[in-house]
Amino acid sequence: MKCDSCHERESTVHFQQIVNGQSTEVNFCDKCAQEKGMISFAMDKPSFFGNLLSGFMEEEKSLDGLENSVKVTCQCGWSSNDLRKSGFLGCPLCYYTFKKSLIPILRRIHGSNRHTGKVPERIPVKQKVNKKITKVFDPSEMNNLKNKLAQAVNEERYEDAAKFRDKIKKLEKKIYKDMLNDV
Amino acid sequence: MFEELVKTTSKWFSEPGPSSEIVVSSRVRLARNVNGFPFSHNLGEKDAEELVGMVSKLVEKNKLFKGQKTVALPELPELERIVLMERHIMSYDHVISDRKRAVIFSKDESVSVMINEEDHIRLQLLLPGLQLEEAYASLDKLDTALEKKITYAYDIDMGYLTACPTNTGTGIRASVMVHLPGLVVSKEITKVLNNIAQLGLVTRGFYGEGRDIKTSFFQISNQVSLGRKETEILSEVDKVTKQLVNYEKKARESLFKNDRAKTEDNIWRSYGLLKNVRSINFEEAITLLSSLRMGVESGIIKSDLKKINELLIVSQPGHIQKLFSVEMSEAERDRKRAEIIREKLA
Repeated sequence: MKCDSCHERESTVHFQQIVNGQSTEVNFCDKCAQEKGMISFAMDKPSFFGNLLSGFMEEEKSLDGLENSVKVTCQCGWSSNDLRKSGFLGCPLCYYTFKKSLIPILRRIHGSNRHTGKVPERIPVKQKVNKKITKVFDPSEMNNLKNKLAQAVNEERYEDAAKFRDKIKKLEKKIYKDMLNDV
Repeated sequence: MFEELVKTTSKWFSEPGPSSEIVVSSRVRLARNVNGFPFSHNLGEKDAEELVGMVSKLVEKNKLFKGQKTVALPELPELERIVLMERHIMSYDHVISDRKRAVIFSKDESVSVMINEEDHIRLQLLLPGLQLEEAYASLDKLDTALEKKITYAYDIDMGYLTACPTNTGTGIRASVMVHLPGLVVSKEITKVLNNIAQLGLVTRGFYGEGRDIKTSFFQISNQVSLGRKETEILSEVDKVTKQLVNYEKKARESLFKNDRAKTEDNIWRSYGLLKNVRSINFEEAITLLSSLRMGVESGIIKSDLKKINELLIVSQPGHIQKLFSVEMSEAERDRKRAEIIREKLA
């Protein structure tokens, strides 16, 4: 099969994208694929995913403020257009500004939108751009509750577990509220 | 700078690790961002400078980097940046970017921290052979030490917030570089790589000057970074790598069983060529070295894996250029490369 771009060389990179059950396939030779940023042999170049991502974004744009007519801009100056074009976020706060469209994207990339890994010692409560961090959240209370919950589940004390779960939810809500107050 | 560096391979790489006959190296990296700053690509020059100053000061204090200095990159000549990339200390992006950025690496070159790469902080640790869990354990300690002083951009639901949503969550990428000549020769490689893709892992070629060179070296890494614990991600890559090692061993066994004469002939031919070449480009060198490596791994040729690993590093274009520290044409570089290889294998 010849390359879809230069129509000269044999294609070696086959790229299939499935959007809403509709599959599109393109075939490139190494050189054209490289030029289009679809393959990369540097350590971590994200361009391939970047491309994939803007594909997702195209599709998600009608979900909230990402419609073409309404341009949402984050406090850091990054707009929904920038996000769609590059597949990158402008700052940590963008995760909240563009949350509605990001969640389905995260689910698609990772199969989940909920972090279960490491919790840092310091969690920022107020995500504010330009260094105006006014308060640093102390996660010890959260960690404490999560440990108690795990213990209760292990020991099959489900009533206690439910209590801890509710406390965690309440605490999470509080942290969120603090965060959003600042946005 | 780096005159001594380019003469040999990185210290961490000089001794073989577990499953070194097939797994060349393991690498774990963590992506972190400092709360309160826009992401690297959206950063003003002053903020970028402030981040470099703040992070490098903290990193230099860590005992892993004892006696090491932060390397400011816009100031470093391009050739030396390429040398750092060829030694896997930093990424291609970090070589070509034009923002204020820096890198700091440990003396044995196993740990490095890139500042203002795609994310503000990229921590990475390399170990020989298959040692993902070991690599993460040390890296996690460094990360924990840093987060005592730096408030990372983090959300309770989404985890570590990164510039690209593909890294959100744990920010972890666990990868191994594997040498699979048996699967390549027996043409089973496509099938195997497809299977790996279905398991949600990513395959990349590894060596090259930013272009595709067909080799039997592949880099396998996780794609998912959110929704799973670090340990789960590591053990998944570890499990798949162990399977790959088994497939590769079987492929080699059957090559030696069914096509012994031809397989051995290929290996000895590569050895003969490498010992006698007068001019050789990087692509050919890598292909022949791959074949020689298989010969050594299978006990057909009595030589040292260390020597071959070293040649894989020092015969890269940037290294050759830096070693002779004069402007060279490609033809001259190919002659010098041949010289170095002959000398090492003599």
